[in-house]
Amino acid sequence: MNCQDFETLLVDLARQQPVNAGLRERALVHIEVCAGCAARFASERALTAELRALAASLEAAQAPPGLEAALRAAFRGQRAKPAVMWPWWRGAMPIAASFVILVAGAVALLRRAPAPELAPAASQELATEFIPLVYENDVLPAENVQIVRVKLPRTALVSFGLPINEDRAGESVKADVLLGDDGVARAIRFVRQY
Amino acid sequence: MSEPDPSDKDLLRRMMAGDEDAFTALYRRRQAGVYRFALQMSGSEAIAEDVTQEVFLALMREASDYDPARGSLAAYLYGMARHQVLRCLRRQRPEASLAAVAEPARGGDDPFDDLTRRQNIDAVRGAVLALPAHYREAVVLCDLHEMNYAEAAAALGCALGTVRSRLYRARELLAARLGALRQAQPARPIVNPARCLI
Repeated sequence: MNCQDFETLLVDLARQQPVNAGLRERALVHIEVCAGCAARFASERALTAELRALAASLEAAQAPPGLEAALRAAFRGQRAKPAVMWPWWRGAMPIAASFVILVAGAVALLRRAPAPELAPAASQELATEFIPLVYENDVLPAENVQIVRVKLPRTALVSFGLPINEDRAGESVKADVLLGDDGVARAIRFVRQY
Repeated sequence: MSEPDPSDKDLLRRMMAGDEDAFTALYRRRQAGVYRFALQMSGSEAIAEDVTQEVFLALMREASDYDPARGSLAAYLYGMARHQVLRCLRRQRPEASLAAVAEPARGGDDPFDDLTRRQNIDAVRGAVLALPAHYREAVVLCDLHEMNYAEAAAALGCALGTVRSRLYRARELLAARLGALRQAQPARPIVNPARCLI
């Protein structure tokens, strides 16, 4: 082994890291005949000892006891938090995105009709709030919007975190879609008729 | 016969299912390492506390992001701690030294030996804190936390060879700095016990 080979093993040897037994043996033989490498090895071992002393000096250091209580409270708070407190619709956005394509298709067909059915404020209807289909920042405040009523598979409710009666999963559900100038759906609300 | 301690993976799975005791067990097992890493990286107890809090809050929120195929949970937590520490250090330069949190004095037979040992530790601590962050984190993980190269690489999100080369270079810088400090310091005073009695 020459000095260059020894140099590649120096730090691992000084830190007592696993090194191939044959290589270790040859390295130890090398420092017996090379004063320069022996001095480098001694210096690296001294540094390792100093770093271990530093590590030992902070062995007992740990986070303040109060932090555990605070984190446990946060954990409980997180578990207890109702789903509606979180902007859940953002999590549903990827699912909703594919669903928007379906809505757009239905809307395109309706637009060909002479008078699209607008959402009536009929007393026999119960509607959810409008659920954004785009991020709020993407909705322009002065934008002209149009409401179009469509029929969708009832399973669409699930995409928006709304409950579904599984017995009626095969049926359709009515929805009002808020369309922007560009024809892209901005928001949707589901309507139940009595 | 007592049951073996549950693995990190088991605790994490239970934690994700809402088990507070599992979260507490995981916290108790891993907080000291995260706290010490942040302390050794920043030199500030306040940053270390903040980082520890942020790491475990993030674990609550984003536990599903952890991928066991990419390393141990410990490495994942160190990785999060590293990001938090670097963010804190970018915002503020640490002013407090670790002298405030240094080990308590141990009673020894020779007060000078004790003093010298503490001065040595302070010098090494200062030299580690003076390293550039990417070298410092290699020293902290590999030398102070005795992680192997693979674990350190997982925590740092870099190749194993990068950890090796950074550690090598970091130790060169440390040796040079400590050597310069010792040359500049006066030698230990020779005390004549007879004079102390006068």
